[in-house]
Amino acid sequence: MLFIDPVFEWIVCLALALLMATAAWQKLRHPKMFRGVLEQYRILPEPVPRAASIIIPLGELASALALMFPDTRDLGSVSTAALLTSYAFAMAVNLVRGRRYLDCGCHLGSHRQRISGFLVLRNGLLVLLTLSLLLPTTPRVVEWFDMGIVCYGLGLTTLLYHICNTLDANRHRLSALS
Amino acid sequence: MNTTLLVATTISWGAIIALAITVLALVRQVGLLHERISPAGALSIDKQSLRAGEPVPSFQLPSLTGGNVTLGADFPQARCTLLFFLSETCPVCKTLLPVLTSVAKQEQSWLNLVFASDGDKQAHLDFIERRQLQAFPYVLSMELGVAFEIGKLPYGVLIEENGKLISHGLVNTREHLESLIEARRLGAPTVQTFMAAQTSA
Repeated sequence: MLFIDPVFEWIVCLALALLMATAAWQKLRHPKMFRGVLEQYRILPEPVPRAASIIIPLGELASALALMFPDTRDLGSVSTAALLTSYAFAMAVNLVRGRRYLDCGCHLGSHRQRISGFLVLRNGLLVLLTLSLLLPTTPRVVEWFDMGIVCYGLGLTTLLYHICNTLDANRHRLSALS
Repeated sequence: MNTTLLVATTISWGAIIALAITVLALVRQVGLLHERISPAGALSIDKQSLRAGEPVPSFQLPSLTGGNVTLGADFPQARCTLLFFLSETCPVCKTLLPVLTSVAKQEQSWLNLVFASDGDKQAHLDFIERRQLQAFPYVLSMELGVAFEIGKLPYGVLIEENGKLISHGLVNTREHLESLIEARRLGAPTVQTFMAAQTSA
């Protein structure tokens, strides 16, 4: 039987909750832009993007909340994994269609980032991390120092996530120059 | 021993977080640099009939702001001509107008700015009125656009006093416009030719 450490579980679920909450916040702040992105992906038939542009951010917000509480954590991790998989699927379909120039919609309201294999891979890894939350935790006493590790881990994963994303965006800007 | 380990770990955490913040800042700056350097010069669209150093077709056209505009080898001028192709409906052209007029004023000792377009005369007269372009020659001619093979707007063509072409290219920013003017100063139609001349010399 596989077990995960409670510290690891806390870092993963807080980081994912933060990710989902910021994603939902961005989408709710720029609903028109998000609808545009959904339409551009050309996955959902015509009237659906309008409704989806409200439902998806609400789903993200609910998942973020569910991840925060131990009782609803399993439900939250399944819904988060489902959302992340659907984004990866939408990007993969458009990459196969050859529409590499699409904006991924990761930074609504600020800069553009094109869809890429990296983003599909990133979502795949995030899904694996999310599903790891379904595993039982090692029974051990969580001390005050563990909470320090959780804060540190959360800060570091957030920073590394942003660094990787920015590097991918830079790669496209650089290739646009040559 | 435990306390020492605790202190050491906390310090190394702090250091790693600080390094990660620094890397993030650097990565963002690199991204910003990529964005800034993107439009290096006016994009010259290859034209069959136009070569730098060769005379351009001659034209004599009435200006909407009064008088006649002459172009080409048959009509030697006292100053160079910057022929600027625009449309009264193109948004980039509108944002460039203040830049153009200020450059034309600054460089008026050697440069003569001429606007060129085609289409409805009244619409252009209104445009001239609205944008206060009365001080500059403004010609409407389909033939002119065809002769210079203008497919995209706004397009700039810089012509020497004797009617020979100096440089031409799409003008979307002030830098693009300056690159056309710089081409005259360096005596090279594009940066590439200038660099090639530098390395072979």
